[in-house]
Parts: sequence; C-alpha cells; structure tokens
Amino acid sequence: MMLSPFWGNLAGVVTVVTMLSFIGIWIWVWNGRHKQKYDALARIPMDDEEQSQ
Amino acid sequence: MPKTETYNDQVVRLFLLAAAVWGIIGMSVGVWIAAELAWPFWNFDVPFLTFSRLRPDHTFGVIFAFGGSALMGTCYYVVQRTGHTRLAFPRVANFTFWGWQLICVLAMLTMPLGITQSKEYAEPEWFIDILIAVVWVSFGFVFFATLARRRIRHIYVANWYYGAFIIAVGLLHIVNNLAVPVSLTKSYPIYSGVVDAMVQWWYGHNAVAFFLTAGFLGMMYYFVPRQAQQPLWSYRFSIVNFWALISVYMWAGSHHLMYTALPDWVQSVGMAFSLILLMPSWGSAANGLLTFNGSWHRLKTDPAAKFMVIALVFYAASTFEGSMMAIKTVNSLSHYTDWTVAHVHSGSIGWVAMITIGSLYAMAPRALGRPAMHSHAAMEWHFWLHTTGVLLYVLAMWVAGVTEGLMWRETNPDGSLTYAFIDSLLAIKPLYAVRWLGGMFVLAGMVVMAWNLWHTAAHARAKLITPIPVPIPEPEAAQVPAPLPAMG
Amino acid sequence: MAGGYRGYKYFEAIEKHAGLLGILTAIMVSIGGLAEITPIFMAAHEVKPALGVKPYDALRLAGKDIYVREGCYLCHSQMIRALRAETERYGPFSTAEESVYDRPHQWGSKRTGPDLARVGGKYSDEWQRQHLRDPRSVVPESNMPSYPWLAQALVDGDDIAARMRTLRFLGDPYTDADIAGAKAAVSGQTELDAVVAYLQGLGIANEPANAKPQQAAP
Repeated sequence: MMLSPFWGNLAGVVTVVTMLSFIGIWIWVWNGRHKQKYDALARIPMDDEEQSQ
Repeated sequence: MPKTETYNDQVVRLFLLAAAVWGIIGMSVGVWIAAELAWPFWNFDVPFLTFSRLRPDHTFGVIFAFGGSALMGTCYYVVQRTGHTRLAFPRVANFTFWGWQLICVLAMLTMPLGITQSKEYAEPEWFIDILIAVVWVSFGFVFFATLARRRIRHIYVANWYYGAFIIAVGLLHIVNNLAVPVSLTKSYPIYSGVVDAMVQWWYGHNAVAFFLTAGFLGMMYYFVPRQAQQPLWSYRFSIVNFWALISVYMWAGSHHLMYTALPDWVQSVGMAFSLILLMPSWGSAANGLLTFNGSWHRLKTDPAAKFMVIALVFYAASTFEGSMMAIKTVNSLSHYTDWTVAHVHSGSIGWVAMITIGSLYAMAPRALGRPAMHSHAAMEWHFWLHTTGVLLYVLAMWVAGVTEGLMWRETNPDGSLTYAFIDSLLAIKPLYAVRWLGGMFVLAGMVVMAWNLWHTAAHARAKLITPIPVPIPEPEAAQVPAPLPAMG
Repeated sequence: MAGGYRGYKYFEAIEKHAGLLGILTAIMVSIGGLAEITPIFMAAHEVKPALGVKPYDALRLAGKDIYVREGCYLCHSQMIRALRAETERYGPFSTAEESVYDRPHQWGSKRTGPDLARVGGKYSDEWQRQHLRDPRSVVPESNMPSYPWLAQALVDGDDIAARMRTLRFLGDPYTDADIAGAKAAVSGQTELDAVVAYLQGLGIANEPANAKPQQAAP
C-alpha cells in the first residue's frame, strides 16, 4: 500500500502547529498575573453545598 | 427577588444504583469467562454461555453499563455543583437514564445470542447503535444546556473533561459504527480490511482515551479536591494537561497495529505520539496526587480517599506501561499476549474502577441525604478486597503475558521454534486460575459496596430526601452570568 | 477578575463559553484521527483494482459470518506480523490485500489460540470438524470451547443471497450469477461445513499469488 508523500508532509505541518499552540497555551496559563484567579477557581469543588447548610 | 433552587439529585441516584448493579453483573460475567479460560468445562456447550459469545458482555457490561452509568451520574452531579445551578431539562435527563439502561439491557441480551457486529468494544448491532447515538446526543444536550445556565462564569476544569468525553465519544461511536444493515440482526460495516482495522483501533484506542480516561479524569478533578478537602494542587497545570491530552491521544491509535499490514509511517506516528502522551497522563496523575499533599493523614480514616490515591497510582503506572508497550520492540513481545490483558485491567480495575468507587463513596451519602455511608468497616473491607484482587489479577496476567511472548519467539540454535503453541498455554494455565481468583476478590468487594449502598439508601427509600439548596440566589432576569462569588 | 491583559482575553473566552470550548475540543480531537485515517482511506481505494483476490463464495461467506458471530476473533488473530518468529510459526507475513473483503476485519488483538491467517490446508477437513465439535478430543490440553451446535444448524441460502447483495452495494464485486447461485451453493450445508470451508480457504483463497493465475487465464 503506497501513500503519497503529501500526507506525510501534512502530518508534519499539523504536528508543528499543534506543538506551537500547546507551547502558547502553556505560556498563557503560566503568566503570573492569573495566579490568584486560578487559585480561586481551584476551590470550586469545596464551595458548593456546605456554605448554605 | 431571591428564590432558592435545589440540585436535582434524583437522576444522579438512579445512575448510582444502576452503576452498582451493572458493576456486579459485568464483573460476574468477567469472573465466569475467566473460569472458562482456566477450566473450559464452564462453557457447558451452551451457545450463549460460551466464552467467545460472553466476552463482549463482560467488556460492554463493565465499560459502558457500569462505567457509563457512573460517568453520566457523576457528570450530572458535578455540572450542577460546579456551576451552582440546577440540571437543565430534567425530563431529558430522565430519558438519558432510562434510554441508557434500555441500551445496556438490549446489548447484554443480544450479544450472547450471536446478534453482534463483532467489532471489538463496539459489538452491539446497528439498531442498538442508533439508540446509543440518540441517548448520547440527549446526554450532551442536557450537559451543555446545564453549563449554559450555570451561575459561575468560569467553567470548572472537571466539566472540560466531561465535555470532551461527550463530544469525542459521540464522534467515535458514529464514525466507527457506520454500517449497512442486511436485516434487523445483521449488518456489514462500510469499511473493510486495513481501513476497518484502522477505524476500529482509532475507535478502540480513543474509547480508552475519552471514555475511560477523560471521563474519569472529570470525576477525579471534582471528587479528589472534594475528598482531600484541599483545592486542586495546580489549576493551570490541569488546563495545559487537558489540551495536550485531547490533542495527542487521537494520534496514538495505530500503536495497536504494530508490525501489521498497516503502513509503516502510521505505526511510527502512533509510537511517537504514544510516548508524548506520557507527559499529560503523568501530569494529570501528579496533579491529583499532589492535591492530597498536606492531607495524607486523611487516608488513615477515609477509605474513599484511599481508593482515589491508589486509583491515581494505577493511572500513572498503566499509562507508563501503555507508552512503553507502544515502543515497537516491546510491542513485538507484548502484543497478542496476556500482557495486553494485564495492562487493560490495571487501567480498568486499577484506575477506572477505583476512582469510580472512591467517587461513589464520596457522592452517595450527599446524593442520598445521609451524613456518611452506612458502614465504614465495609468500605475498608471493600478497599482491601479490591486492592488484593487487582494485584493478583495484574501480576498473574503480566507474568503470563511475558511467558507467552518469550516462548513464542524462543528458537533453537538451528533456527527452528523451540515451543509449539500449546506449550505456552500449558505454561500459563495456573496463572489463569490466579486471575480468576483475583477477579473473585474484586467481585466480592463490589457486592460489599452494593450492600453498603443499599443500607445507606434505606433512609432515602423510606421518605423523601430534603433537597440540597443551591447556594446562590437566582440572578436577575436580564443578568449575564453572575460574577464569581466571594471565595476562600 | 483580571481581564486587562489583552491576549488572555481570547483564552478566557474559551474557558467561559461552553459552545466555544466544545467546538475547539471537537476540532482538537478530530485532527489526529483525520490525519491518520484519511490517507489510508485514500490508499485503500487505490489498492483494489490491482488485486486478483475474489470475494468470498457463498459457502465461505456463510462460514466467515459464523466465525464473526461466534466471536472467534477474541482468541484468534488473522495477522501474521513481519517478525521472524511469526513467519517461522505461521507462514509469510500478512498483507493489506488479503483482507480487503473482510467486513469487519479479523486481525484480532489476542492469541489465546494460534493465528489463523494461513490455517487453510494445514489440517484435514475431518480434523477441523472434530476440533470444532470437541477441541479436547484432538488437542487434550486445549482450553477452546466446543461448538457442537454448528453441526446442527443449516445455512440459510436466502439470507446469504441477501448478504451478498448488501456486500455488492458496499462495492464487493459479486456478479448476478454469484448471487443467483448462492442458495444452491449452500443448500443442505451445515454451519459446521461453512466454517470449515472458510477456515480451509484462509491464506489460500485470499492470497494474490493463488488468484493471479486464474486472472491471467483469459
């Protein structure tokens, strides 16, 4: 079963794009200025019912 | 005008009950077929009791009936509580419950009768597949509609995983099951040969990725912080892991077809991505485990937390094992052997079942309006029965798999094969008995859990449960999602 | 809520809008599958014309579907990997062309029993019959279940013809004569006969090397 090199190239391009967007997400998320907000978000599971009971 | 809403836990309780029942059924079938492999006498020459007819009942029963019920139930529970809102469209939610149970009963009854597509992990015939698609779309509808009416602006990360689980499983199910029916009981897939193999393992692998991983990670991201009584170790780490996991997993499916007639480059891509996959997998496991940092003492007193911690350890171990098995040289030994079975079960009864059981123990008292589970000792018993069972099972199958792999490739100095196939079967037969025993332990634990749940629910059966009020007042009519409430 | 940072706003949008989150998730999960399956799908369509293998005849088709129904693939693979120990034990490694008519594919994932890709002709018909009826009567150590009911059921000719029509609709080259003759071809045959015919054809009837002379004849 032969495949044209086109698919190999496409897979390569997609890999690079995915990789770059992944690094982008990492930088974004680790940006210090959101730390407080994320710390607050991490508490959501502890904050659903007890408060009102 | 403040008005109090309540969480809708009625459908959650139904799914909880169903999960306990299906868990016992699915695992009983597993124990039965394990006995058949060790002692073929148990086939009784009855068609619907024969191993090859019954095995799909075990896999469907535990993955889709037990796991599916647990996932849908906890999903409805979590999406309400992390959004501070009541479940949208309760009638549709009830439909998803009864629809899913109907699907499970139909599938479990038809497959042993030979009404099957025989596509691994997607055995039910076309009419059941259509029902699955309908119920799944309804499930997604309820979930996203509930998200849409949430009153916390940010969507908590557990819901991302549940969302990915719903979207991806829907996509996989439909693409993999495209078929043309011959009659009510027989259809042919539109794919054949190598294409069917690729589609099948793209599905099979990603059913593991999105059903058995993403869905249960959703469970983990809510119930682990809840049970540790500490916030998630790193929220932003969970975001990075989410995107990495969902984008990488899909590429790795071809590692199920190493050295086969699949084109070489696809095998290589599968191997490369399987290794990359280790990062987000361990990332998620580490995030869960580190959330217990500072509250390890809770493990002494809380069996639910113990289940969760061991589940995460098994998750880390089996994802590591999975990546290793995707390396071509390792795969050449492990593939087709019981090593695969060991790997699958360290993932399923180690990770999936234990995180589910931990979450059910955390959720059940709240959903049933009780301060705690009926019996603490029974939970302890369950933990030790289950852990012993998993270890027996996994070790036996791991040794069996390596033995088979080595015996199959052993050659004499003149280049001829040392062992006939039957020699490898004889060598591992005692291990098949140990595996059966391990399964018995796990099943016994499930029976203890069912007993415990039944008694915890006694109060709920006797009288109406006081609904749990939603903590935030109803927003104004014109208000865009309310701001985050004051926290911590 | 920190919203001042410009770049973050876009990512924040994803985290706060269920629809957008859903769509992006769907895109991310689709890419991998599409990138792998589309090229194979394309290539598979190119393979077919060069192939000399004929689709299953009526009896073997019935046998294959019984093999599928009974779930034999759960313990027997039909895929000899390109590894020396495998080719030594089972014969030449399997190629993509050999399974073009298998719906679904029967490559399998577990060998509780041996690979069957080239089992055709290795044992006599009578051995296969006896083995299917009672495996331990010929291989005492075997843990394979017995399938005695196969000998008691007849193959339904009309059903096989209907199956061939569906397969033709899916692109398998059955002729009108194949379909018309299906009923006669399986008349009086038991399910056991059909499975044995199927097994005896494995690695023989689906092998391009065997099919080519046939094609070269006219």
